[in-house]
Amino acid sequence: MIAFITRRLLLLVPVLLGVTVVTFTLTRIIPGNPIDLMVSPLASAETRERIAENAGLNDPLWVQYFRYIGGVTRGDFGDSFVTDQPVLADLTSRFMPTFELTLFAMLLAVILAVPLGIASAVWRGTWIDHVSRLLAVFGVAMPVFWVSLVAIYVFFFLLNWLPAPQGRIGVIITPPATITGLYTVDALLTGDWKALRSSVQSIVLPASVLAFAAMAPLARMTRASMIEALDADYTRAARALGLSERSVVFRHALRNAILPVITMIAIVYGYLLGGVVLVENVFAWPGLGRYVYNAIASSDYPALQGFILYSTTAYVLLFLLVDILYVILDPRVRI
Amino acid sequence: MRQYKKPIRRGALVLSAAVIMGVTGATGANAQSDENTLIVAVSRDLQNVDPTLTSGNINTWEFLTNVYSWLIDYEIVTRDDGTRIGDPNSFVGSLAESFEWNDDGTTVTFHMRDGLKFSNGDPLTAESVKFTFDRLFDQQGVTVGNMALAEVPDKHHIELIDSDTIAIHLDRPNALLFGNMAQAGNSILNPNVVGPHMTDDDPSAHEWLKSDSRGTEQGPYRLESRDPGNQYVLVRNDNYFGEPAHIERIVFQVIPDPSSRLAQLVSGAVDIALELPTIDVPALEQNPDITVHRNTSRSIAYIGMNNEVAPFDNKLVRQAISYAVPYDTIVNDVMNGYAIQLKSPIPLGTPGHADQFFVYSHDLEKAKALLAEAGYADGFSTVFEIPIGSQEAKETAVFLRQSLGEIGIDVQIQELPGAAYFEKIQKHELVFFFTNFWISINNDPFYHVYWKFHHSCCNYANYSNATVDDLIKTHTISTDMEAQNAALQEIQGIILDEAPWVLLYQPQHILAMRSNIKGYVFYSADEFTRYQYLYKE
Amino acid sequence: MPTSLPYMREKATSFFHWCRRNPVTALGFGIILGLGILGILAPLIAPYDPYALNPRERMQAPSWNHLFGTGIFGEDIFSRVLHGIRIDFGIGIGAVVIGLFTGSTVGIIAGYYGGKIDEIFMRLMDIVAAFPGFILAMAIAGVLGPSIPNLIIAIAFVNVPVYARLSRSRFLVIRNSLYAMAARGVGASDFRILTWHLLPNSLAPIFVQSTLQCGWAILDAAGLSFIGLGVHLPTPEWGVMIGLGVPRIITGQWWISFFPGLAIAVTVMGFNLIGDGLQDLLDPKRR
Repeated sequence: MIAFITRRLLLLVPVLLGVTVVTFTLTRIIPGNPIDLMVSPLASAETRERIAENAGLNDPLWVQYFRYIGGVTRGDFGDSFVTDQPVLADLTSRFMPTFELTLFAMLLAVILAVPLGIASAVWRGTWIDHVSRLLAVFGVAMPVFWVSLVAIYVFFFLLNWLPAPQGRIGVIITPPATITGLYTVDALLTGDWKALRSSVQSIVLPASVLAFAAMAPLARMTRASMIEALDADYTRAARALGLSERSVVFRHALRNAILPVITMIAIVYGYLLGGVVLVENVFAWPGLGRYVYNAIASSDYPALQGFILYSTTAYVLLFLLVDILYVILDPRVRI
Repeated sequence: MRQYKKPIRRGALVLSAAVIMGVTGATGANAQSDENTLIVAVSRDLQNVDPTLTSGNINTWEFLTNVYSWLIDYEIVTRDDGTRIGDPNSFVGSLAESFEWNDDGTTVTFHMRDGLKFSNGDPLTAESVKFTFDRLFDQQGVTVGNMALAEVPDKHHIELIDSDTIAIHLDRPNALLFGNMAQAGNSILNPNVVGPHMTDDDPSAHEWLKSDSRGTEQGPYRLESRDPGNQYVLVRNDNYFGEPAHIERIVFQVIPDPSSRLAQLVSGAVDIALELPTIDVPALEQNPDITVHRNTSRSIAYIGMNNEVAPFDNKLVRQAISYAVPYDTIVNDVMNGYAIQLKSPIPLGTPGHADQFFVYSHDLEKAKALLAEAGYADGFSTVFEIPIGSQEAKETAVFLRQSLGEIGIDVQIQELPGAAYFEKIQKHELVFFFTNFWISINNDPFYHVYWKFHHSCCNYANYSNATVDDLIKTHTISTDMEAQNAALQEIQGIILDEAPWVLLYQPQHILAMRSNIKGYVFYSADEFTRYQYLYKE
Repeated sequence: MPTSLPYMREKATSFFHWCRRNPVTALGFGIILGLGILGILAPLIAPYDPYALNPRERMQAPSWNHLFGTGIFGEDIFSRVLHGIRIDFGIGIGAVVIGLFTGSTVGIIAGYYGGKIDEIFMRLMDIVAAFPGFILAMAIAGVLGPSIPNLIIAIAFVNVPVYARLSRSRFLVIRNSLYAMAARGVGASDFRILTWHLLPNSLAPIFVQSTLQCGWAILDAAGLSFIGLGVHLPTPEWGVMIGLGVPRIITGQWWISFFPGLAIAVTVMGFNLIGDGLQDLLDPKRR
C-alpha cells in the first residue's frame, strides 16, 4: 500500500512541474505590465525602473521561472501585486470560504442525488426515473451564474426571504470565533445564534445553486452503476438465494455501485471549482474564485500563478485520494 | 422604475436551509449598527498604504487621509445653505499651528503645535517632520514630483530650525506649494516606529508601511485591524490634536459589487456606501431612510484621441467626432443627469474656466461633412478602449459606437483589465479611449493644464502645441493675475479648436448614507470623506 | 429513382418510428434544428436591429412591443437573443471543431506511432487535463484578451485531451482489427490507412462526444463572457447579455438576464439530449 502511494506521489512530480511551466508561461504573456500596479502613475522613470529591478521583472524569463520554482518549493508563491500580501497567505485566507461553500454544495448534492439515482435505477422507466432524468438534463444545461441570478431575484426581490448577496455573513454580524474556519460550524459550536442565522442565510443560495449543478452528473452516475450492479450475476445470485429486494439493493448492489460514484464525486468537485468562480462573483463570496477573477482582471501574475498551482495541486491530490480509496474499497484492484 | 422594497423580513426560511442546518426561525432584519460604530461599504480592500508610494485607489487614499494629518490643511467654510465644505483654495495650519511666508515668497516657516502625539503616545515634533521629508525625498516616490513642481527639488530645501519650527525653501516663489502639500503624500511619520523598519535593502521602510500604519498615525483615526479582502477597521485616535472624532469605530466592509453595496445600504446593514451607480441614485433620493449628498466635482471625463496616430492626427477627424457624440444622452442617460456637460478642458470650479469656446453639439450632418473634408467620406474602423468594470465607461462606449456608426466610423469596444489599461494609458499607447479618473487635487488651472496638455506623464492624448507650451511655461508661476487669465483664455480657445479630446462631463460627487448620519463635510479638492465630522442622530 | 412516392412515404414513416422510439433524442434534434433555423432567419424575423439603442425606452418590462423587454441601453432583448443564436452556436461548434481536429490528430498520431511519441504526447495531455477545465480556459482567455476567436481557442484547448484520449483508444482498438490488417496486406501506405480506413471507423463515438461537448463549450463560453473575458460589447452574445443585467437583478428588472440565460439552457439541453440519445444508440447497455 505504502509503495503504491509513494509511486503515485512520484508520478505527480512531472505533472506538477508541467503545470508550473504552463502557468508560468501563461502569466508572462498576459498583456499589461505589473509594474504599473506597484508604483504610482506619477512616479519617475527611475523609480519605476528601480522597483521593477527589485521585483526581478527585468531578468530573463528562465531566470524568473527558476526563481519562481525555487520559491514554490519553499512555500513562497511571491507577493500579490494587488494586495501586496504573500500569495500563499492570500490563498490560505480565502480557502476556507470556498471550502465551506463547496463542502455544503457537495453534501447537499450527494444527499439528494444518490438516493435519486438509486430510486431511478430500482424503479427504472417509471415516473421517478423520468423526473430524475429531466432534472439531470436541466441541471447540467443551466448556467450556474444564471441560476444564481434567478435565485436572487426570487428569494430576495420577490419573496424577501433571504438577504441580497452579502458574502459569508451579514455585514454587521461579527463572525463567530474561529474553531474550524467554517462560519456555520463555528457559530454552531460556540452557540452564536446570530452568526449562525446570518451565515446560514448567506450560504443557502450559493450552495444550493452549486449543488443543483453538481446533482445531475451524480444522479446519472449513481443510476448507471446501480443498473449495472443490479443486473450483475452476483445480484442475481443473491436474489436467487431468496434475499429480500431491500437487502439486494442496499447490501449487495449499492456496495458495488458506490465506487464509480466516488470517482464521479471527485470529478464533480473539480467541475465545481469552475462554477465557484462564477457563483462567488455573483454572491460576493470572499473566496478563491473571486480572488482569481480579480487577479486576472488586474494582471496579478503571482496571484494567478499561485491560484492555478494551488487549485490544480488540490485537484490532482483529490484524484490520488480517489485512487487510494478505490484500492481500499475494492479488493479486486491489485496493487 | 420600481422602488426598492423595504426590507420587511417575513418569518419564513428556505427549506434547504432547514435541511442543511436544522435551523428554523425568521430571518430577522439586520439590526442597525450602534451609534458609536459606522459601517462603510467600499468597493475594494486597501492596497499599498505607504503614503508616499501608494498605488492610490480611492479608498486607500481616503484611509490615509483619515489616519494621517499634514502640516497644513484646507479651511472649512460654511456655505450659504448652511452646509460646510473644505475650501480647496484656502489653507490653515493643521499639525503646524501657524505658518508664515518671508517677504519674497521663497521660504515658508511652520510652527508646530504644542504637545502633539502619535497614536502610540510618542511625541510629534519638527524632528518628525524633517524625518518624514528626508524619507520622502530619499524614496523618490510620488510626492517628490509635486514638491519639485512647486520648486522644492530636494531634501536640503527642508530646514529643521528647532523642535518646534521647520522651514521649506522654494527656488522660485509660486502659488502651488500648499495645494501640493495638503494631501496624504505629506503625512508626517513617526521615526520611532518607521525607523526600526528601515534596512539596507529597504531604506524607506516601504515593506512595513505598505501594509501597516499602527503607531505612526496622528490623524483623527488609527488602524485597529485588517482582515485582508474583507474589511479594515479604524478606531478613534485619542492622541489626535484636534476635536475628537464623534464616532468611535469605522468598519470598512469590502463589497466589490455595486448592486450589493446598494442593497446593503437600502436594507440598513451599512451606514454609507461608496461608488454607487448613478442609475440607482433617483430611487435613493426618494427613499426617506437615505440621504444623498451631491456636490459638484472637478473630476473630468473625456474621450482621448491620440493626436499623433492616424486618423486622429487629423484635426478635422477629431472635430468630426466631437460633433458626432450624443452629449445629451451621455449626460442624461449614462450619467442619469448627475453630471454637467464638460465644456472646457479646465473644469468648472477651477479658476480661469471658460465655456464660450465650446462650439460642438450632436450634429451628424456637420460631422459627416468634416469627415469627408478630412478625406474619410467612407469612414474608417477603429477600436475604442475602456477599463473593465466601469458602468459609465461601458454605457458611454455603447452609445458612442452607435453615433459614430451613423457617420461611417465602425467602432469595436475593447474592455481592458485594470493593469493593461493603466499601463497603456501611462505609456500613451491608447489611441481612442475613455478616461474619467482625473482630478487635479491642486485646484490651480496651470497645474491642471500642465499635467494634461504639456509634455507630461499625464498628457495621455499626446497633445502638442507650441503656443500652449509657451503660455504654460511663461505663466505657471507668474504672479500677474491678469496675464495669467488672458493666457488661460487663449489656451482654452486653442485646445477646443484643435479638439484633442472629446469633452464629456464633470460628474457630481455622490455619497449616499443612512439619513440618521449627519455632519458630512465635502472636500472638493480630493473628494475624500473626513469621517471625524460624522455623527449619528 | 428513389424519389418515388412510396419510397418517400417509407422514409417518412421510418423517421416517425424512430422519433417515437427515441422521443427525447428527437426533442433534442428538434430544439437544435429549430434554434438553428431561427438563427439563420434572425435578420428577417428579429423585430429590431440587435445593436439599436433607444435610451428613451430603457429597461422596459416585456410587452407586445418588446417581447423580452428592453435592456439598459433600451435595446430589444428578443432581437438580441435571436441574433445571439448565431454567435453562441458559432462559438460552441467552432471550439468543438478545433478541439476535435487538434485532439484527434494528437491521439491518432500517438496511437499510430506508439512508443516514445505516444508516451510524450499522452503525458502532455495528462498535464493539460490536470487543470480544472474552466479555470484553465479562464487563464488562457485572460492571457489572450477578450475576443471571439480567443474564446474559441481557450475552450478548444481545454478539450483537446478529451479527444486525444478518445481517438487514441478507439484507434488502438481498430488498428488491430481485420480491415486494417487487410489494408496493410494489400500494401496501403500508413497515411492512406489512417485517413481512409481508420479515421471513419473511429468517428461515431467521437461524434457523440462532440455533440455533448458543444453544450459544454457554449456554457463555458457564456461563463467566460459573463465575467468579461469573452466577446466585445455590445455583441449580442448570451453570456454578455446576462452580465449586463446583473446589477439590475436586485432592483427587479429580471428580464434583462433571464431570457438570454433561458436561451443558453435550452440550447445546451438540446445538444445534451442528442448526445445522450446517440450514446444510448451506440451502447444499448446504457439504457
